[in-house]
Amino acid sequence: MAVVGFLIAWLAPAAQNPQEAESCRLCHRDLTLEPLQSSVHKSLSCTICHVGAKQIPHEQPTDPQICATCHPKTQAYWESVHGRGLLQGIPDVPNCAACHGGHDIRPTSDPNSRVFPFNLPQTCGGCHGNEKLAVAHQIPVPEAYQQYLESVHGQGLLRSGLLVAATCADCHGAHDTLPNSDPRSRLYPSRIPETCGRCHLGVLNEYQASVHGKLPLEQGPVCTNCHQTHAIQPPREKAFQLASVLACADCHPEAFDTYRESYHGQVTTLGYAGVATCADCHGNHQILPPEDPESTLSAANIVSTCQACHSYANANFVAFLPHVRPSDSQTAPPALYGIWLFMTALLFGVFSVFGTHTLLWAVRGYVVPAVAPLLKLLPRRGKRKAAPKTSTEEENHEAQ
Amino acid sequence: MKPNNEQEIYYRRFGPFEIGLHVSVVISFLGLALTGLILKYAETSWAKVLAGFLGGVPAAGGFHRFFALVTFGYFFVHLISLWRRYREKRVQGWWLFQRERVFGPNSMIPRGLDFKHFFQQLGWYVGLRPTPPTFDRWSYFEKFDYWAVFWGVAIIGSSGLLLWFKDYATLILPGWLLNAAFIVHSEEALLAVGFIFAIHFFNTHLRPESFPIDIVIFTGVLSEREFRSKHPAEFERLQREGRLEERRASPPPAWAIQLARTFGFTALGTGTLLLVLIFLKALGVDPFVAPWLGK
Repeated sequence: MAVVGFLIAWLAPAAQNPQEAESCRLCHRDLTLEPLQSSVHKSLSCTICHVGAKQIPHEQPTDPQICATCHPKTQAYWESVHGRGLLQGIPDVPNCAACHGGHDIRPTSDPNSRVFPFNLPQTCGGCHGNEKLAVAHQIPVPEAYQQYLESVHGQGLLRSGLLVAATCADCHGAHDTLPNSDPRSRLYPSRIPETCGRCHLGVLNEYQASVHGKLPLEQGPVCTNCHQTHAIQPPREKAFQLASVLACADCHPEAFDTYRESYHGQVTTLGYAGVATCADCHGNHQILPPEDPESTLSAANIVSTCQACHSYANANFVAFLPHVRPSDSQTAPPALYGIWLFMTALLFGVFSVFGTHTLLWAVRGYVVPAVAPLLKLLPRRGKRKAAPKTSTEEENHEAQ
Repeated sequence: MKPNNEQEIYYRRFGPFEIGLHVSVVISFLGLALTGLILKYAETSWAKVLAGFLGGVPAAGGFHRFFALVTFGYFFVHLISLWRRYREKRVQGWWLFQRERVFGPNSMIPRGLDFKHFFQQLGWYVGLRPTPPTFDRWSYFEKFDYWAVFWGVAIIGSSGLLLWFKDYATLILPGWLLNAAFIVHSEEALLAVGFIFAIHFFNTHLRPESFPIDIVIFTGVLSEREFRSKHPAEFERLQREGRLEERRASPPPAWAIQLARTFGFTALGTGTLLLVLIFLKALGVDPFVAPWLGK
């Protein structure tokens, strides 16, 4: 066995045609062949990939078309955003080697491959996390890589080492990466549930039965409306729960406004979770209208929904109106509208009377004494017929 | 500013009981306002800063309930003191018909003269009278302050208790009453905060005779000059009845003045700052967020 192993190790580099490699090195002096030793292509001669190298001067650099002679299934690349960019001659656009490696290319199943799941984010992040390239080529999400690293997927992959955690290619595709404005893209909005559902099948089933899932896909919210794209947070994270309220607000502004005016909404506005957000009452993936008996807010379920936080909740308790605008006589119960009207009138009345009282006092006490001597307007003490003393006596008499 | 003139004669206006009561009102009211306003104005940047400063929303909620207990404490102590005063001086007949007790100069109950004084004060503002009305022990605006707190504690306190003990409340009451309690608690609190920090502060401290602060509620004594300018009718009444000497007091010690001014200015400053922030919010301005930066 040892002898056979030695023979293979000795013969394999030889298969690269050492004479050919040496002749390349006549000009390409800094060329090292070491990466090739572990490459999946180590048995190929230089000119299989560097076809143009047979002529001097070399006609053309290596081209993805040449890879395709052996890898015909990669034709989708030419339709992808990268392939089309390459055809347009845009610089920096990745060709095959940019992702797979050149001389050091390894099978995708090799943990050291640049496109092995653990390494793929860094490979893509070379451009999709590079500020300069993002500006130069108007890359839509310039910090995709950084956001992904912090995300539940990035942490699952790189911190927990889970190969099932989604990497770039699971959502975007590999060779067939398309902008999400293209209906063929896996990330075209209406195709997102299907794409996420490839891993999150249980959630997809719940979602499809929900009020959101039953909407035409162009209208309804899809996974990314609530969960974001690259910066997907674990749903138990407070930051996610607080941000999810804003996601609901995009389509439900009225409910959002009344929520913000409620105690739950005030607390979450201050950045504290631990009180009910939209999903705590309405549910999340399986969300259904309250009229639906299966809804968390149906007559049969609402008490137990409230009991999740308010253990003492009963039929009286759930008559609380979490979304109410007391100032709106059309929607608010008359009693609440009446109370609001009374309170508003009280505030208006008190502040009008005493606001005026105080303002006039400020004018009489500060402005008039400052200005009047100049204008000689101020009535002088004691020169009027009703002197203060008289009135005091008169009042005291009255008081007794 | 009142000079601490040793030559001046001082008279007692408030006893230790009233001073203690007002100090607890000031502390608990500011505590309740700070911890309550962060919820009412949750969307402002200052509310978030304040919430963090107080140790977070749950901690602020704890402080709010603590100051609520202080409030209920002084409210009931005051009610008990009223009852005791009534019992001590008990005379024959139903107390409501004891005219002197109910409508006399020492009573907080509004009387006809208060309305007359109100219009006389307005007349003085607009130049129809050369001088303001001559107040006895309690001016009409001091009585209004008193009843504002009385009504405020009753209304804010009861609605707050309903929200605090919503589990017991909803054993018998329908849930929408919690909505009602929330509206009342929030609006009445805004009324209280606005009234105290704008109207009471001006009427008591920022008026020309007291500017910038009147510390009589903390030291308990006031000079003859202040007495005659703010409560001339009371002064003359006591003089006439020969009871002025009963009220003679020694001038407040320097440390008491210092303490009163420190405490008073802290309260005035806190209240004024909160009032300014509320006003700015009403105008749509958040002082800690440059308007051109948006949210």
